[in-house]
Amino acid sequence: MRAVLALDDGLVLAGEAIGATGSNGGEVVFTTSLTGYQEVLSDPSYRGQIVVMAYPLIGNYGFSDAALESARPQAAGFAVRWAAPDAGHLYAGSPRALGDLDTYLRAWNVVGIAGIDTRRLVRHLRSAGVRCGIITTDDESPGDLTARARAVPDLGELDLVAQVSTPQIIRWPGDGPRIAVLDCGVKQGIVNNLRARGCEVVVFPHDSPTDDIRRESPAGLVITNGPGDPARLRGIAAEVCALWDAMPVMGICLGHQILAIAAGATTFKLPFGHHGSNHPVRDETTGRVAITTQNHGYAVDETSLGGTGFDVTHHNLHDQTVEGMRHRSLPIFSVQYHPEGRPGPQDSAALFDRFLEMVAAHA
Amino acid sequence: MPSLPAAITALGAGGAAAAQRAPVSLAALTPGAPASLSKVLIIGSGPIIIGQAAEFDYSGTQACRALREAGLEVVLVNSNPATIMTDAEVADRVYIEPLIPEVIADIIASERPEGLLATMGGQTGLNLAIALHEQGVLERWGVRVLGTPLDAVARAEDRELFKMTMTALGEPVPESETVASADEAVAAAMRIGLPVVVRPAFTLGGSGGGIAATLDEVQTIARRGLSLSRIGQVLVERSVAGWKEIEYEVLRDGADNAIVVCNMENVDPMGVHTGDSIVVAPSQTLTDHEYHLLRSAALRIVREIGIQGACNVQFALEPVGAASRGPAGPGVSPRYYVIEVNPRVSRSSALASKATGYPIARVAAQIALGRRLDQITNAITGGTACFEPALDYVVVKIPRWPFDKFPGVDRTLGTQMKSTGEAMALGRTLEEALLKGVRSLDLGAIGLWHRMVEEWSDEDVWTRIRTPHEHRLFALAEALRRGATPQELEAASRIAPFFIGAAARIVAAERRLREQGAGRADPDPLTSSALRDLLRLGFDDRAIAHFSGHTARDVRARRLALGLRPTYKCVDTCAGEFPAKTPYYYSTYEDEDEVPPAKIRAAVILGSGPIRIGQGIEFDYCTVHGILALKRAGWEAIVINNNPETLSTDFDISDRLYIEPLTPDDVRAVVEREGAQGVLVQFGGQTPLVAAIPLARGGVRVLGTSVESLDISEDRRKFAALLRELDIPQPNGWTATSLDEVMAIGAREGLPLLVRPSYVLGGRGMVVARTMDVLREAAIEALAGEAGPVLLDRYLEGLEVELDAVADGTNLLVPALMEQIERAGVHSGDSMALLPARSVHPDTARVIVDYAARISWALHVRGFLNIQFVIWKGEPYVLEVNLRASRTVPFVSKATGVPLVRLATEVMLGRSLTEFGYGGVALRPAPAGWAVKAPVFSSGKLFGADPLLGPEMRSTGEVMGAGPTAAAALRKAFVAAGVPPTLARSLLLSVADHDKTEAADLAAAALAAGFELVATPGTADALVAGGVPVRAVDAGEAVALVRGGRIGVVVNTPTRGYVTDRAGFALRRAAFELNVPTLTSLDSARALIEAFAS
Repeated sequence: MRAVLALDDGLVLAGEAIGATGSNGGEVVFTTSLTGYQEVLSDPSYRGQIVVMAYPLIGNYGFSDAALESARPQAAGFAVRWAAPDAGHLYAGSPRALGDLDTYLRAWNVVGIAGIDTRRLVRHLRSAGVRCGIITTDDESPGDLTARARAVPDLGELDLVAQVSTPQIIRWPGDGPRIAVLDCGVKQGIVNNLRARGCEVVVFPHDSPTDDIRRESPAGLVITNGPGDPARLRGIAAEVCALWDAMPVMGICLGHQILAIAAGATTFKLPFGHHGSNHPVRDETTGRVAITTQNHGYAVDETSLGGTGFDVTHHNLHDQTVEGMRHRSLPIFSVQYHPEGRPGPQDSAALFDRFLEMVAAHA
Repeated sequence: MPSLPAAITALGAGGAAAAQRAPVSLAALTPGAPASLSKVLIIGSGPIIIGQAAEFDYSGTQACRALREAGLEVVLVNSNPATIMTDAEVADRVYIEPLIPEVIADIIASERPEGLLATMGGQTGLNLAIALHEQGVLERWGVRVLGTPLDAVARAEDRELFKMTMTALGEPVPESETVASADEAVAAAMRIGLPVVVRPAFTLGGSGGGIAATLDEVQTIARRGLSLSRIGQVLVERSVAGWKEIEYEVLRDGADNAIVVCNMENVDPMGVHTGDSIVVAPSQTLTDHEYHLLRSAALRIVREIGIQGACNVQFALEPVGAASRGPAGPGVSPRYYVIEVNPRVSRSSALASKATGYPIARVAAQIALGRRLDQITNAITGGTACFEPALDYVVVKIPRWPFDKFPGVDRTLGTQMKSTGEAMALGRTLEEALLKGVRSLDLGAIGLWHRMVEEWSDEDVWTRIRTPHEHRLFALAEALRRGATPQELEAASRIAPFFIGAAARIVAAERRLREQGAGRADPDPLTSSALRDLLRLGFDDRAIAHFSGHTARDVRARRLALGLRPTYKCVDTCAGEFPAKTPYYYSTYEDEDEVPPAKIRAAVILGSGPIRIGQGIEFDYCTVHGILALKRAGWEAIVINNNPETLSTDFDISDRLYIEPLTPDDVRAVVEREGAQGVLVQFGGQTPLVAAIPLARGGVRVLGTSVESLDISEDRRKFAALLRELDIPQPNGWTATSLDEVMAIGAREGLPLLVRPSYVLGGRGMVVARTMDVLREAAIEALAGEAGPVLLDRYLEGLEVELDAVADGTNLLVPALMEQIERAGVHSGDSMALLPARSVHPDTARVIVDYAARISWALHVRGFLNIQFVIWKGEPYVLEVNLRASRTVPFVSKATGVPLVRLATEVMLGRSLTEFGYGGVALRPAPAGWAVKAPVFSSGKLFGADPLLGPEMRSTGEVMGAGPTAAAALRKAFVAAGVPPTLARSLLLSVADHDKTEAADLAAAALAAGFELVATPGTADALVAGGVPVRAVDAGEAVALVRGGRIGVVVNTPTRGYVTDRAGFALRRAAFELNVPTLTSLDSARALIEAFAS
């Protein structure tokens, strides 16, 4: 079946439908990760976005539930150059097998498109900046498709965190310190990293009142990644601000931006975001560079951090944007990138150790 | 301080000016960097042999450029003249010298470099650095090893040390034991359990290694490996054959920043040397978890070993969830083993560089100077070099093997590398990259089909699938055609289903085309969407035409009418995320084309594709110089090539680089896209020349000598007629299409005759028939091979003389004449050559130049002219003419200093030689000294191959020796080719009957030169009869003497070339395996005696 991807600026690419029939709209972003299409699709940070995979061959090793970052695909749509057919048999006989890309998308009613010149799309987004767009299997004129793409609401207008955060507290047992995870769209990889270090993990809804969290007397707080514009999250920021005297805090991605906002700094939208597994980040305190996983469309304005009590600790080597900060006196630090990888390198996993050292020192 | 030995010649323009360059204090740049470094020695890798090819000219040249850009003076030593790195423009001081510790020690003593960069010259460079360190040379002269320190090299390369290091780190290595004898190997294998891999320490391309399934095999392989290992050790290791083989290319700097430039997955699972495996980049079947499990391990390993520069880490990964495997499934962390670490740039790193656009060697050289990765710029994007490239295409590398040159050789593949070269292809689908890769191999295949498969029985097909084989890819496709299921193929080959799936989709498309062509389905298979789908699967017009029954012309016309043209995409290291500054392209069928219009007049230069015997690095040398000359002449230089090892495919050599197959259709598409004024076909050897005629027919302008003239030179009949018309003598020749006809010609015209099939590349399938029996066998062989008649030539056994000239239609420049040491009958590529020719009478030389001039005028040659003559009874006869650069062009350029390629390029662009001061028709005055080119063979890699010279070319590389006398030059060339400088002066003679008279003279000369002699009985009788006293030994004793290390040189001339079950073969083979110089021609023996006379 034919499918079309249309952007709000008039670009229309025709390809073959994969996954569900119908239409879906969202902000169109690309990621350059070579592996990890399952993790990308199921990453709550992609909520509301149509994800374009720059690597052309997707679905090569099938789908299994071991590599999902959340229970379901989160992306609003999926655009690939080539979707591997018949990859489902790779895990044949395994109870954890979820079939091939087409099957998986169809099962979750996600509209996808294959066979398009994804490199052209990437280059277009790189120069035009992120655009809203739709993927549809409807047969309509280019003009109508463009109009529908224009009608897609801006990411900044949507309350996406509420869509992906847990509705109730989730408890993961552990023998170590109890860590509160403020779920703004948490990736399973973050929970797994804490659990692998022995932590007892309590995942809180994003809008949990401070008292709910205090009541559990956690030894530390992790503010997670998540979708959308951080500027909308002043409420969460205020809650965080109320908590940060009480315990060590680690912010990841959106969590980092929320911390910045809580401290009084501002964020801005990047032209086409950072989405990939190959971003070099320099730790300015050591001079060492790590290759990191990134997935964010907004960044913290470095100039706005002046006087907030936070120092910038990390920069992106590509565009010098802020990639990490820490508080001068409080045990708080945050990174814009993903120390859990998934997809992507594990080079920065030691940040979880650093956080737990802070937790231990604070106890 | 000892002075520079007079015999060591430094070329290069550097000299005084360079010596005065102020030292650069790198300490100022980076803390911890070597202080006050001003001069660095780089060791090249020497002659091309299997496992060590053009990739080291590429990496070495990149390193030289990076170092000079940093303000350092670079001293370079390499014995291979056919390299760009040995050009005076690349390094400040160039030594074309034997790569042995003694010579390099002399160079160090005289040049006094502060640093040594040893990781650019392959295993040769690394082994030399270790030898120099062990001999105390580096310490004595205060030379520091730059980049990865030698103790780190040892941790990576010494098997026991490596295992200890990995075990301490907690990285799994296959259970193994290092042993120093064959009996210990057997005992170890019994403890570990069969099958085991046996591999020698410190060898190239896995020389001497193999998988042993029985204890007998353990013994055999261990013995072979022990004799080849530099440290007399072999490793007996648990076999993980069938697991996925995954490689990571890592760069680490001195501040411990480390990145993975690229990972690669071998399509052929563990058990096939990665050099012999089809390889894809990036990995295709690894989950993110697996990818990063191994990536993290690679980084840990590289840190623990202490690499500072480039490094390759190989893993074996247990396939997950494959139908034939155990309980593993998603979520279960897969098992892996660390197999090997190469602490240097390598063939894999060259491939990774070309696959990603990331210049590994260049960055590694900067790291060696103490720079941090984040201080180095990515030349492609202008951003930082401290990142990991992202790809948005698939890369496929396919090896090319030399088995067609070695009848009787085992064509199966194992842990010992056998391929001579490789082609790389890029595509937006795996199928596209695969089919472009196969086209790039230049094998005459159509898609995944080759006519040879028609002759295969079902058993033939399955044998080639079960046991890794040169033709496994074609066998997989053929099995699918014959109805096999992908599951059956996976079980038989253990190749991952994902890759089998690509072959299955290609074969399914073939089948649809066939059915449609037969009119059973869609009466018009060439609808727009069907055609587009086929093109996106990588089919070219020719393949679509072949399977559908249309003509290629019709398919093309239809394709163009539908507006389906290839689009060209940029290789940019970042999957489009950032704008790229370098024009490095590949074709695909997509919407958007990224090539900007050419700014000035542009011409396309065709490279030579994968390295094969007869088409080696020499042609890349010519291609690169052609590019440089074109740019210098004010043209935009566009290059098309597909060999990832070479310098011509470096992104910053040409103005635009296209990684494409070199078929006429692929070339034409680029020419049309670029609007280029024409193509230059004379640099890349036979491949571009063969493409020239169809290109011209397709309306592409061929610059330089006309296609009509090229056709005459390539067409034996037309060329013979031309020589007759010009009254230039040539050996008589006949054409026969049947065995009876051949035998009749033999009987009528008499022997000896030179027999060959009509299609010739590098003397393929040529035999000198001295008896009717050999004539019969040779004719049967030639008729069985390629279609077409057998060619017979009168074989004139005389002095062979060769020239490489440049002609502009009026003027003819002949820099020198070369004489071949071996008489005609030994392929010129395998013959030693002496320049200038000392045995040619000046009158004869004049005749030769006159013939060359008349040929150049008759053919209106504009560009290169290569002619081989044989001087028979005082008269020169023309044996062969090539209207393209020959493989001796680099040698002649280096020996005479005449920039042949540049001049030829200018002439092709329409300039006259007079403008460059080379007017008239002249043989240039002889250069001051002598130069010798000597061939180097890789027969040691190919078991069953006879290391015997004949009319069929078998050498893979060459070295050059230069000296003030012919003897000195000869000696240097012999030493550079592997003869020990302290050659034991004991000679074992065993010669054919027709050589026996002459052998007496040779033996007398050897005695006079201080050699001891022994001979096999027949030869001894002849020598004694000729008045030379000699001890006779029987065949068995002769082999025993060789094995006992009692013989310095073996001279063995064969009676019947390709019959291998002879005592002589056993003798040659034994000598070869023990590295005892073996000469199969009396002429080479005479030269050796002259060179080593005491």
